[in-house]
Amino acid sequence: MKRLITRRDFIKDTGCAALGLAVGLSAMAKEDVEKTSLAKVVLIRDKEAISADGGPNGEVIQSMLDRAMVALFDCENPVECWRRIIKPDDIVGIKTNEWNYLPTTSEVEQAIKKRVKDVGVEERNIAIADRGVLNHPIFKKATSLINARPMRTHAWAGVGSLIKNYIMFVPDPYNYHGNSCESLGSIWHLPLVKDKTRLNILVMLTPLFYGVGAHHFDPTYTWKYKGLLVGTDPVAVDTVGLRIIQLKRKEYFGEDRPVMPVAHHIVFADKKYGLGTGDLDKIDLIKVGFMEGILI
Amino acid sequence: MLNSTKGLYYWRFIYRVLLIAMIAFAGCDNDKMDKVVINKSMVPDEIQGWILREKIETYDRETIFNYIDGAGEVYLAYGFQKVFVYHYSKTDEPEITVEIFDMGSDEDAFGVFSYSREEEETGIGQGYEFRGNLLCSWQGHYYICVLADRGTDETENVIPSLAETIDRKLPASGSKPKLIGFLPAEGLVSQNVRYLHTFPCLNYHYFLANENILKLDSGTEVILGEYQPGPTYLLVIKYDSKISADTAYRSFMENYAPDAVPTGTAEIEKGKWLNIKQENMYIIIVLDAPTKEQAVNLMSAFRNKLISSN
Repeated sequence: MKRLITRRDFIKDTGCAALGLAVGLSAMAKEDVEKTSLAKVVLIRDKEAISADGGPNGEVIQSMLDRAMVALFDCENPVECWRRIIKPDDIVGIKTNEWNYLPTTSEVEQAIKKRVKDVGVEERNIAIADRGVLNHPIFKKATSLINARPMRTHAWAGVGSLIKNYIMFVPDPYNYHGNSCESLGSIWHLPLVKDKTRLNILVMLTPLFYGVGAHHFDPTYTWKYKGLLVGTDPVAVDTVGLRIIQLKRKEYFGEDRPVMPVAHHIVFADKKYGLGTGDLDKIDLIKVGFMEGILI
Repeated sequence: MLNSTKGLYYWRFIYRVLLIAMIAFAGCDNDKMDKVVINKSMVPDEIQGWILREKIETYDRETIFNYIDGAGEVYLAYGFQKVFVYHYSKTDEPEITVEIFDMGSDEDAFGVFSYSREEEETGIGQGYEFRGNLLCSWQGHYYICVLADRGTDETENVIPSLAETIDRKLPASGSKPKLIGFLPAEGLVSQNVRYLHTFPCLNYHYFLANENILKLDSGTEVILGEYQPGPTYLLVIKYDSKISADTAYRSFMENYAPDAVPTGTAEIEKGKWLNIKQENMYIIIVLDAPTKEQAVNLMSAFRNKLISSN
């Protein structure tokens, strides 16, 4: 893996520095071994995903998740799909994100929980949590994790991603902030979470595509994309989500505006921590639902 | 004789006690002028129907992540000491939060303001930006943010009023980093001047590399100025010593601009010129200038001001 990447590498590869992460990926990928299988990611969108009051439409969200699962696992019905990843005797932690400006939303959480219960998991063996996961009795003994969070730009990590969502599984999050959070992928190898994640859902209902500084949220820079990205490979799902954010920025500003800081924790999650693929060429993106304004 | 010696010691003792007391009081006065006590009196109990909640939260360098997630690193990258958080509520209106950050120095209060601003207006504090439902300003060594959970017609009125009220209770003025005064004025985009210390903060505004090739740390002072047309960037770094600057210079040349040896000038890509000079404990770099001449001229203009000030 090539370690030092400078602005000059970006310029050399693309003629401009703006593509940022994508070029960083290609620069690193050149030295990587060819991968043969494609990572499957489902992008589902529904015009009715957002209610008139601006919040998510629970029934539609459930339907979106179901359709996404059927597309992802290529099976007859959603419960059958869930049975591929969850067993009735599993203890399931649904890792959510409670950032008050842009949370995972209870509609998404409950849609997941409903299908986990449909598989046969008992209510007492299911928990939904964010900040408290480290000391949560269910999460401490969880046999399966479902990772669900919204995509947003982030002042220190570039984007709030699925990879980043596991930072609450460590007691010392600040120790993972160095070099724009490059080591977040290492958390996924800790015993509390290693090999337990069965599904990743990147909530793209109203993503935040731009922000400046620590006070990052400004509703001006969200838009009703009305989508969910679903997959078993967290790096692949994040990579697609990041690409959509970059494309939205280009559409909105009329020019390439790189996500800053460069969200290279996603690159590191691939190249250093082996959590999945961050190469768009190696991702099988399945699009379901309405196409207008899909961007990607 | 003995009595008179005793008397002398006595008066000397009294003199010393008084002197110490005077120094201590003088210190308090200076401190008072520069640093106010942040408490509930800093903010009104009520404003336009929003009522202040009883509890004031405080977070320091150890506990900042209990309040803000990883973005708290932005404050830690400056001399952040403590933040005081106040909450207001009003029926059927969004909650309003006031944050008063003690940034430890005027320069760092300006720095963290400059890190985040896209536009700058005058009239509140020593500069402010009102963006959507968020107003941030700096004043003395304080950085103040007033934000509503969401924007409404009412929050649009109350946010600046609240900021102005706090403004009146804080020290009147603070100093911007001295180096900013040396930036040549012609073509400078003033709202895009940044003051910072660390490499991640530099990368946020101008991505240079994924490793700290300029050896920046919390002790380095960095000014990034943007010039138009272009944009062309002027990057100025003050290290703690010439030795540190020497090391950083070698690292930068080796990792980023080997083709700029020995002249300090190179065309990094077509129409993007770099010019670099080391001046004692300073490194000055012009980036992305459209022509060699513009790179050299901007460098000269800055160096002349810097040298003439020393």
